[in-house]
Amino acid sequence: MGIPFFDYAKSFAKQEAELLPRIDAILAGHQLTNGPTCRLLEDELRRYTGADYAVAVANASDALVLLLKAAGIGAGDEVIVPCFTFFSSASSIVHAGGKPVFVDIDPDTYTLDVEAVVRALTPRTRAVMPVHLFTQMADMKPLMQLTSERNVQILEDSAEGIGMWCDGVHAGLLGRGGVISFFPTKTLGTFGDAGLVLTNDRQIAEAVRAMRDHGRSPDRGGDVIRPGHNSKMDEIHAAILLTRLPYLSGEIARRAALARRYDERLARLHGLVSTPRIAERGVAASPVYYVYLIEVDERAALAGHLAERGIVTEQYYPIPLHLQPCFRSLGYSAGSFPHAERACQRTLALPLFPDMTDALVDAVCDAIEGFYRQERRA
Amino acid sequence: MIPYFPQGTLFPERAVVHQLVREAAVSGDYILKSKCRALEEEVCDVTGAQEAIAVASGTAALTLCLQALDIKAGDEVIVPAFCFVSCVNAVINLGATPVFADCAGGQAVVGADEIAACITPRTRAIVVAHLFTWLADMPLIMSVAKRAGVPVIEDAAVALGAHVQSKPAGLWGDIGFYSFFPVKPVGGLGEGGMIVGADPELMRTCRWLRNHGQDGIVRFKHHLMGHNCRMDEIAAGFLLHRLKTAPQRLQRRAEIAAGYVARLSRLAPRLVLPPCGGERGLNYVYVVQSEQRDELAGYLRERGVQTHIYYDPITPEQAVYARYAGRGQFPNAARIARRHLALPLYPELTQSQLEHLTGAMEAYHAQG
Repeated sequence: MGIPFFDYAKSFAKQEAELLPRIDAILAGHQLTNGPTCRLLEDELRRYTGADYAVAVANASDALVLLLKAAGIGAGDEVIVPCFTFFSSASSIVHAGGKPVFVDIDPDTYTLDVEAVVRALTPRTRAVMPVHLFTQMADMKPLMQLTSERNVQILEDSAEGIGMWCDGVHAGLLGRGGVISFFPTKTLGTFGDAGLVLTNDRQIAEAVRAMRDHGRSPDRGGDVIRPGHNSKMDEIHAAILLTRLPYLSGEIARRAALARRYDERLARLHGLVSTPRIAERGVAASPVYYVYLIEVDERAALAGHLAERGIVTEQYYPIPLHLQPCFRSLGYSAGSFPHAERACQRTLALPLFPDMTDALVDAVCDAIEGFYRQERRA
Repeated sequence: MIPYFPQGTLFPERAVVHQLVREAAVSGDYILKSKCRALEEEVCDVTGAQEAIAVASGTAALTLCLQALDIKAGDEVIVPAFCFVSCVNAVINLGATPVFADCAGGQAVVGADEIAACITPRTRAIVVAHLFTWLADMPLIMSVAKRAGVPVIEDAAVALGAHVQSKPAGLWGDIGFYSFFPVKPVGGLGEGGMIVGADPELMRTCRWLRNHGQDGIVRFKHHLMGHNCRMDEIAAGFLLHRLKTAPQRLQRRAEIAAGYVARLSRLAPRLVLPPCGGERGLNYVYVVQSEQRDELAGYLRERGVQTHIYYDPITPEQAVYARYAGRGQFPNAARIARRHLALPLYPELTQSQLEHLTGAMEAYHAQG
C-alpha cells in the first residue's frame, strides 16, 4: 500500500452531496465559464481575505501575468524575483514583457533575501515579486520599507499564500496585488487549474477583469479597453472551490497538526534531516503548512528509498530558475546564488494533505528512519 | 422567446459530469493524464490528424502555434480584419505586429488575394480563420503562402467536423487548431482547445509550451518559456463523451441551416444568405446580411427572437487596435460588419422555433 503525495478522496466523499447540486445549477444555466458561480467565489474570497477585489482567472500563472501587465510592467522593466520558486514567478515577468532579475533566498525560510533585493535594484527596477513559499510569507516589513522609499511596486507571488496573514493583512494584499493558486494540491484547490488575482487596487482589478476576457471590460459595458488574454475560470471549478472553502480553516489546522507530528518524529533524526524553520519576524504571522519540506544530504537516495516503499515525494525544486535552460540568456551561472543552489540539491517535500492520518505520517517517518539505519550500517 | 445562445443544454448530461468529477477526486489524476491523451487520440482518429495536443482554449492554441513559430517583436503576422479580437491579441501579446487582411468579396473569411496584398519581407506567419458558415479557400491560400515562404496557422476554432474539399478543416495549414468553447459546434464543459498538425518539431514545441516548457518526462526542468494552458481530466473526459454524439448534433445543425435556406431564399436580394455546405460544411452560426440590419434585429427582438452581431466595428477600426491598421483599407470587412446578423443555430432549436423565426423574417420583408 503506497502513500500518495496528495489525496482528497475522503474529503470529497463528504462534500459530494453539497457539490453536485451546484454543478447541476451550472449545467442548467447560461454560462459555463466566468459566470455567476465565479462571481460568488470572488465574493467569498473577498470576505475570507479582506480584499477589496478578487478576480477569478484560469490559473495562477496567468494571474501573475495579468497582475504584472495591470501594474504597468512592460518592455525595459526589471522585476526582482527569487530564483528558488516555481517557474511561473519568473516566466510571468517575461510574458508581461519585463525582465526578471534574480536574487538569492534566505536559506532558513526559502523566501527572498531582502538585503539581496537592495543590491539588485537598478534604475529600471519597477517591481519586486516576493514569493510566499511552502509555509510562510516573505519578510514583508523590511521589504515594504525599502520599496516605499523608492518608486518600486511590490507584486506578490502569493499563489501558495491562502490562509497566511502578516499583521492582519492577508498575503497578496501588502503590496499592489497578489495571486492565489487553486491547483489541485494547493491548500485550497480544485480538480483542475484555477487561479485568482487579489488586490485592493481598483485600477488593477479593472484591468485584470478586462484582460481575462480578451480585453472586454465588464466595467465599461463589455468594450475592449486593451489587448487581452483568454484566462477565465470554469464555473465547475468555482463550484468545487465554493464547496471546499468552508472547510479551509479546519484543513489548515489539520495540516499544522500533521506537521507537528512530522516535526516531533523527525527530531529523532536531528543532524540528518532538517525540518521546516518558521521565522520569527516580529509580526503577527500565520504559517500554513501547504508543503512539508525537509532538507537532507542524500536527497536522491532518500527519495528513491521512499519511492521503493510506495511513498511519493516531490522535489521542490531540483533546478534553480537562473540555471534553467530557458533563462540561459539572462547570463547567470552556477555559483550566482549559493543558497538557492544548495536548497535545490537538498530539499524534499513529504506527503501532506488534510485527509492524511497520523499513522501515515508515522509510516513515512519509519521509512525515513529506516533509510538512515541502512546508511549507518553501510 | 428564442434565445441566441441556448441555456441548459448540458443539464441532461449531469450524471456524466458527476462521474467525471468523482473520478478526478478519487484517482488523483487531475490534469494532462489518460483522458487528455485519449481525447488527443480520438481527435486524430476522427480527423486523420497526425498529432493532436489538448490545450486550455482556442486562444491558448493560437498563442502556442505563434510561439512555436518563434513569432516575436519585429515580426508581422497577417490576421483577419473581420474576426474575434483573440486573434489580434495573441499576436500583440507576443510583441509582434498584426497586419490586417480584408475579407474576400461578399464573404466573412479572408481571401487569398487579400492575404497576398499584406505580405512584406517581415511577414512571419498568416492566421486564417473559418467563420460562421464560411470556410476559407485553403487550397488557394496555401499556394499563396507557400510561394511567399510563410507558414499558415489554420484557425479552425469553429470548424471541427467541417471539410474543405476532401480534407478536414484544421489540417490544411502548417499547423491548426480547434476550440471546444461551450457554444462551438463541438463544445465542452468549459474552455478547451486542440492543436493539430504533422510537423514534429512544431508539435513538440507546442506540447512543451502548454505545460511551462517542460518536456512531460522530467518535472521542473523548463526548456522553453512556456505557459500554463493545459487541459484537465474532467474537461477531456466530458469531451470524449460529447464526441460520441457530435455527428448527430452536427447533422442537426446542417438540417437547421438547410431549413433557413429553404425558407429565406425567396427574400433575396434584400436578405443575403451565407453559404450552406451541408453536413460536410461548416454550420457554426447562421449569418445573414441586410442593409436594414439594425431595424431587422429590432423587429425580430420584438417578436421574441434574439439575434447577435459579432464584429461591428471591425478590429482595425476599434480604438485599441487602430494603431495597427496603418493605411489599410478593409472595404469587404467593413461592409459585412455593418450588414451582418446572426440567427440562432444550435441542435436544440426546434422546428417550430425555426418556423416562428423565419415567419418573422418573412413578415418583416413583406412590409415593403
